[in-house]
Amino acid sequence: MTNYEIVVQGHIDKRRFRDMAKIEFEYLPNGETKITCLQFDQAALHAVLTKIYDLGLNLQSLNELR
Amino acid sequence: MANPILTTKLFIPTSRPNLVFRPLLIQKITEGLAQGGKLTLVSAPAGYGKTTLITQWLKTLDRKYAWLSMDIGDNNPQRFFTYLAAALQTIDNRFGQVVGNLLRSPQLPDPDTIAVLLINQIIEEGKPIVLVLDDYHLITNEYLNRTLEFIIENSPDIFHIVFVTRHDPVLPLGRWRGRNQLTELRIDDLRFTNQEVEAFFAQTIKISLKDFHIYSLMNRTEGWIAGLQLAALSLRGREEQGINEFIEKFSGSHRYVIDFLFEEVLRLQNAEIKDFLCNTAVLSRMCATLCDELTGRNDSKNILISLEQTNLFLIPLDENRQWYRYHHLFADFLRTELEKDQETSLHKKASQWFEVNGYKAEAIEHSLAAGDVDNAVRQIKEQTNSSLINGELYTLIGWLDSLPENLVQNDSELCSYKACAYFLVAEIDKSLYYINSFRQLKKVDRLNDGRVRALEGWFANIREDKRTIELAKEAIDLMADKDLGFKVFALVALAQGQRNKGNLDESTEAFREALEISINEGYSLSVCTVSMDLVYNYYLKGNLQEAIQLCLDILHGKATGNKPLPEAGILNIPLSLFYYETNQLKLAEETVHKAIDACRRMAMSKIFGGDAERTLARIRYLQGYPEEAFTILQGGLEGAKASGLPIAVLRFEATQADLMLRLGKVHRVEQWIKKSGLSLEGEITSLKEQPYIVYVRFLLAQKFWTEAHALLVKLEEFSRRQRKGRLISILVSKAILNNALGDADEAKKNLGEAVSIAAPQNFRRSFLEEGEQVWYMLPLVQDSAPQFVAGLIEDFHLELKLAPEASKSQVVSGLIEPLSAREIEVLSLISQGLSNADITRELYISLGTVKWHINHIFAKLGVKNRTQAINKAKELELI
Repeated sequence: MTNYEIVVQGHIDKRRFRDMAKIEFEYLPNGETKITCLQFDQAALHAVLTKIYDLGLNLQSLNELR
Repeated sequence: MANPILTTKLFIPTSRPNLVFRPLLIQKITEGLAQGGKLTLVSAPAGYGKTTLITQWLKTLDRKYAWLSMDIGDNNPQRFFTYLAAALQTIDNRFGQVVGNLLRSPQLPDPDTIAVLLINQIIEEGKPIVLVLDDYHLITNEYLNRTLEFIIENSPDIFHIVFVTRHDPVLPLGRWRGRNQLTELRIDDLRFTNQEVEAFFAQTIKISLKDFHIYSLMNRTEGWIAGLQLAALSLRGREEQGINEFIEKFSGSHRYVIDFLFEEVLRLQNAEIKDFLCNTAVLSRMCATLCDELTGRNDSKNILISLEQTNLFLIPLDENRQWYRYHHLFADFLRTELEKDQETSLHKKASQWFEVNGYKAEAIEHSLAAGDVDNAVRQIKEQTNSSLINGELYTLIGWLDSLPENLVQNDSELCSYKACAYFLVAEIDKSLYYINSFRQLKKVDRLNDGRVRALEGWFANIREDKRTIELAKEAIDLMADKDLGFKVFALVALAQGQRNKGNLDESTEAFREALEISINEGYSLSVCTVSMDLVYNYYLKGNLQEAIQLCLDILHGKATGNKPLPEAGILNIPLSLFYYETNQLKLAEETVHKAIDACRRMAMSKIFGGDAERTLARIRYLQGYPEEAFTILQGGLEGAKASGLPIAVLRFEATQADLMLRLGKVHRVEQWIKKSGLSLEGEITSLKEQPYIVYVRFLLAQKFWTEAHALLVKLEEFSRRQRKGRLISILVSKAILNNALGDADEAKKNLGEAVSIAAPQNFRRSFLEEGEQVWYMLPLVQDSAPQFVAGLIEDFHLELKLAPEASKSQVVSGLIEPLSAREIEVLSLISQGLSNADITRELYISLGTVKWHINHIFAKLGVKNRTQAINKAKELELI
């Protein structure tokens, strides 16, 4: 189980991700959203990425938090 | 099929009249097609106008085309192919028939089988066809991807597939790209250009935008068509001032484009419409009465019509405007407006409506989405029988897998369903796991107990487990004809178990029943596989002519209502063996080639090829091509080893050994027997009988009379009861043994009995395979069946390439001592050009011994030098 930090372009409504546990949102002033996924396994991470893709969001970065 | 075809899936989405025409993109696809490209891939996220582009392109097309929209349920291959056939049927009626028959078998055919049949049909039609698979990203089933890969690789250029998908499919795109067979349209191709944005706004909302408006919109949406469409909805009817305000607000916002725009759109709706949209957002498809149910209104029909007219992302699914769905992005947005408990209650209501109205699958999906496990379990249980019988396996597995595992583990019904469903999709480990879980539970109902027993019987059979018969009988009893597909399984396990024990009558009875059910129920693949087993039983029982007749009846469709089944070609496998047995080698050869073709056409060579290959090898051997025979057998042997079935390996090796024995390579045969696991104490079973007959031939060739006698007693005992067909070979071997031991009377008796069984049915190779010693004895039993025996003697003449009058002198020459294994080894080294010194090194023997062997060889062959020895040895096929 790992923490991940995902950055996407645009401020996304966090209700879009409400089915997913332990997600934190931070809206950055440059128009990006930082999505922090806490204690995610690979399957949960892929679900978030799929959701991001399906919404047509541009994925800027994905990092593992240590 | 229990579920009727949803014609909505074959419906080509209607494009709106005021759409932007995209000539450059259309030209790109057309050029790819014209250059013989096999597929077009349109791959981009939602809202980039993929489907619209392809519908526009189809209108410019001068070929026939078919459309198929995927949904999650299409991961079930049977459903997928049913719809694929239905889609192709809109082009030509014959496509449906090709696939339809196959799908009604209880076991799924090899993935390539359907593909090959489809390709053959396409080739036969000879007309160019385009097939569009829309929303292909919903397909995750590996089996389907492999089948489509096979179709694309093997179909002629006139067949073109268009994949419309949000994700790249798991197919070898790189390979096709490299071969120039792939035309691709991806996100950057699909973004609207500035000119297209301008045209789009001019056409849809009759607004001519200023350059800086277009620049702002492009900048903010990056040409994303869904965003531009939404913007258009908000801009509709605005004056210049309003346009400026909107653009300014939009550009200044950091919000996700879609969230911003949908909110704008929704803001323009009145509260009633807003409620309607949110309350129906949980539906993956909707009709007016269903919407009434969820919203508590009675005018949903009118609302749906007005929503479609105002372009509010409502997509009609059929021409009658009965079913609709929301654009996926819109539905997802609307759902975020709902509270969690609202969403749950809407899913429950939807489930109820779908259930009452007979849409069982959707009812289950909504129960699962609502987290309503009790209802989901009840609905799944009610639906499972029909899913199992109709082969809707992947859908069923999907539902069962969504249930909590601890719940499944404590519910015998659910365990049995999982065991059965996984078995039917060939996930054997998982099936065994749930069989085990099932057996841990006390309370079980008879039908499921019976199904699981049928599986246990089937597993026992492939392991040659003694409990097979008992398990299969229990299964049949427990199921009481409530699931005929599983009954066929149990009957086949029972029949094979009985046959393996030597109970051929009981085995035949079970196969006959399985065949009758398969014919009545239209399990066409089972009809053919069960018939193969049945004719083999007839053959073993000594009813060769009946066996040939049933093969022909299935092949010509006489046994199946005068309609030959597409898989019937596999009956050529046993038929070629039977023609071989009657020594009609030419006919056998033609038939065996048909058999191998049929297996290839059905991509089933892995399953059935073994028998055909062995027959072909024997034929080629007799036609004077022993090397080719061994090459064929070697190929088969490697395949058998790869398949991991020890019994298949043994049967190939036995055939190899049999032919080597006839070449005099006794030493090699001896080596094989040592490692084969065959022994004088071993148990004779149906599958091991033929290898043991080869063993006897080896013992006779080596003059190990006592051992040969002991083994023949056991073989005779096994065959005497019900296997008269096999008894022939055994009696002939006995005659050879008794003759060698000097008991001419007994030998004559043995041979006489063999002839009396063989003559009415025309078994010939059973005599010819035993070698020329039989020939010398045959005149002794001529009286019992004069014509048949005379024919056999004639066959021997031809086979040994001797003139008929040479018969007597040959008897004399037959008395000459045959070459020993060592002598043949030496002889074959001589023929390879080795000197005596080479031979000493090769065989680790002294020069004196080599010379001694060579002198013996010359004496036995009646030759004076090496060249003569080699020629003579080749003539006699010793090397």
